Amino acid sequence: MTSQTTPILQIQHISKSFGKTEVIRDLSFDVAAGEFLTILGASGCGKTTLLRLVCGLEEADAGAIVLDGKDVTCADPNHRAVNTVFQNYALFPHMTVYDNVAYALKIARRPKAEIKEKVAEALSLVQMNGYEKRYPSELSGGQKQRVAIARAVIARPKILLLDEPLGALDLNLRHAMQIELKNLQKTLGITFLYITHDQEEALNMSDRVAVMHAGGFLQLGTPSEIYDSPQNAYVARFVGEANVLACTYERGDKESACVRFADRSLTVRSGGHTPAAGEAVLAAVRGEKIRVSAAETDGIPATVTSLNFAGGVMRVTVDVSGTPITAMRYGLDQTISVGQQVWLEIPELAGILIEN
Amino acid sequence: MIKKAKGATLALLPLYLFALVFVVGPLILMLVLSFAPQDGWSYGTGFTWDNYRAVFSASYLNIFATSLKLAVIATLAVIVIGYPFGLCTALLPGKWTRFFVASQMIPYWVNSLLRLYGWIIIFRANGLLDQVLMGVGLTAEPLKLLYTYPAVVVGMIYVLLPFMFTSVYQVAEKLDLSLVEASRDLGAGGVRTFCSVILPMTLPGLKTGVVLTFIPSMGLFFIAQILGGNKTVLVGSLIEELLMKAHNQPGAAALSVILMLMTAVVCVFLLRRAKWQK
Repeated sequence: MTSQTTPILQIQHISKSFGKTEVIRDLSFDVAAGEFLTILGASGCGKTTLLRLVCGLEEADAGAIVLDGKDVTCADPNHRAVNTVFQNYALFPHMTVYDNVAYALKIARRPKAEIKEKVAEALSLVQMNGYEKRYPSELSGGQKQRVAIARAVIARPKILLLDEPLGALDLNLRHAMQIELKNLQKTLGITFLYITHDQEEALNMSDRVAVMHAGGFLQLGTPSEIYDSPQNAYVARFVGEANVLACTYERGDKESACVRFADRSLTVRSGGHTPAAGEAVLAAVRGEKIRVSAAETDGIPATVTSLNFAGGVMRVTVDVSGTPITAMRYGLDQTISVGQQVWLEIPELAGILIEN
Repeated sequence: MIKKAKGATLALLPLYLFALVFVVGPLILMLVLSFAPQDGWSYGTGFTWDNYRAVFSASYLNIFATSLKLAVIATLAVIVIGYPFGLCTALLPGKWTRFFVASQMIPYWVNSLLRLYGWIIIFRANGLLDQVLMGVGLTAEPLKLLYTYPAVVVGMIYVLLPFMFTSVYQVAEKLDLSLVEASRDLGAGGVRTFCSVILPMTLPGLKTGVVLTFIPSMGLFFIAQILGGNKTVLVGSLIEELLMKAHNQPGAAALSVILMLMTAVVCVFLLRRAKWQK
């Protein structure tokens, strides 16, 4: 995303509390026009509240929300050019699919012919033509989802907010809808602000991902930045379950560093950290980067504590002098059993230093 | 489709039998009786339309009109008060909800006749209402509301309000608030959201409330007797008079049949389910 254009949405130092519980704490970020930004976080991290602040269903205690250059911090939801796909779809049960989708345009008092044309267009976008006369109770979960999307995009909002829209769908449908949503976003050119607790969804679809925890963003970056270069232990563990190793810093520069772990020297990326020699540091290493060898190598000796068969991958959990490490061992060419001694090989620059 | 267990049907058999003997049976008897000729203090055998001819005579139709008018006024008043009351109560935070629901329920632990006598104390000349109004200086002399039409209307509202309240409350309580939020999100203001979402979604409760208000209000003659001094003759009081004083059982039966048909029509019309509810 280029930084010359003004962002479509600016969140400036917003805070929100419910009673004594602070749900969002001094949060600021920008969303670029046409961007697909995903807010990824566990339940209770404040992501839904953030979404409700943007669409106006909650009012911020402090800070400002600027939508397309206009301050909408205190505007009612009906005065914001933002539409939402709700988690439970929130389709009007007493209206047909046609009336549901046409709702925003009817409110805006558009001419009948225009409404008819746009409803047909919106329904064909989500491949739901022919369902106009059905009631929501006559639709499957996936179909309701599509109607909810059509209803939310028909008025061409400046931003489409999506609150865990795929949460209620089964796995296969979810994968198909991920691709469809991404394509839809490209076709419409509408900015998507997407909320999920599913890291796979976040990494698959987004231009940028924000990892949210305890009312704030821990890291905001492209999916590969988030995955390959986590900045702290929470992000490392939450996205892709990386191993966080307690090491001792030996030497290094802004690019790479040499750290000591379990009596071996590891070369890792510095992630911008340049601590003093001898200082305790944390390094994150993805499980799939760690190779497990049953034959003795000069790698780190470890003991296998558990084996989990996860389809194409075997997850091997080992113990390295008290530190549990998960490694993905591809293929089943070697036999490994629980309690066996193995050797771990961590390639150069596979790990990265993270905030302590 | 869920298959209903045969055992359940069997277990309900005594109930069906009870309903057949004590509900359907008397209705059939009443229907048969309504075609019987009157014979002195009792009824004779044979078939006659006379009882129905009497029902459609001018004086009886007048009474029907009076009853209908009172029922419509009372029902409208109960809608105006009860619908917003039930709706708002359902949307209030929990403890207030319980308070208002209790306020509507607890008076019903006392017999409704006794509570109506309470209104006599309020309405009678120089009663509680007059004392308060004159004390505040709103009126110079007693209003003498007791035994007037307004007193009957107030009594009807008082007795019937909880039915409307409960019906509306039960539906409104289940109202999915995310629908209201979706409506706001799609650009609708408060009034539009009420008309397009809240009202249609709570309409089934309102309709049930109307059925539970309108139908009894056609027959609640004791309110007209106690608070109206029997100046307003309603179908209910007419049936009572025919039965208890004139000993005209076939006439009372014919009136009852017509009253039931009228209310049945209202019921069928109001309790039809919309397509989306099926």
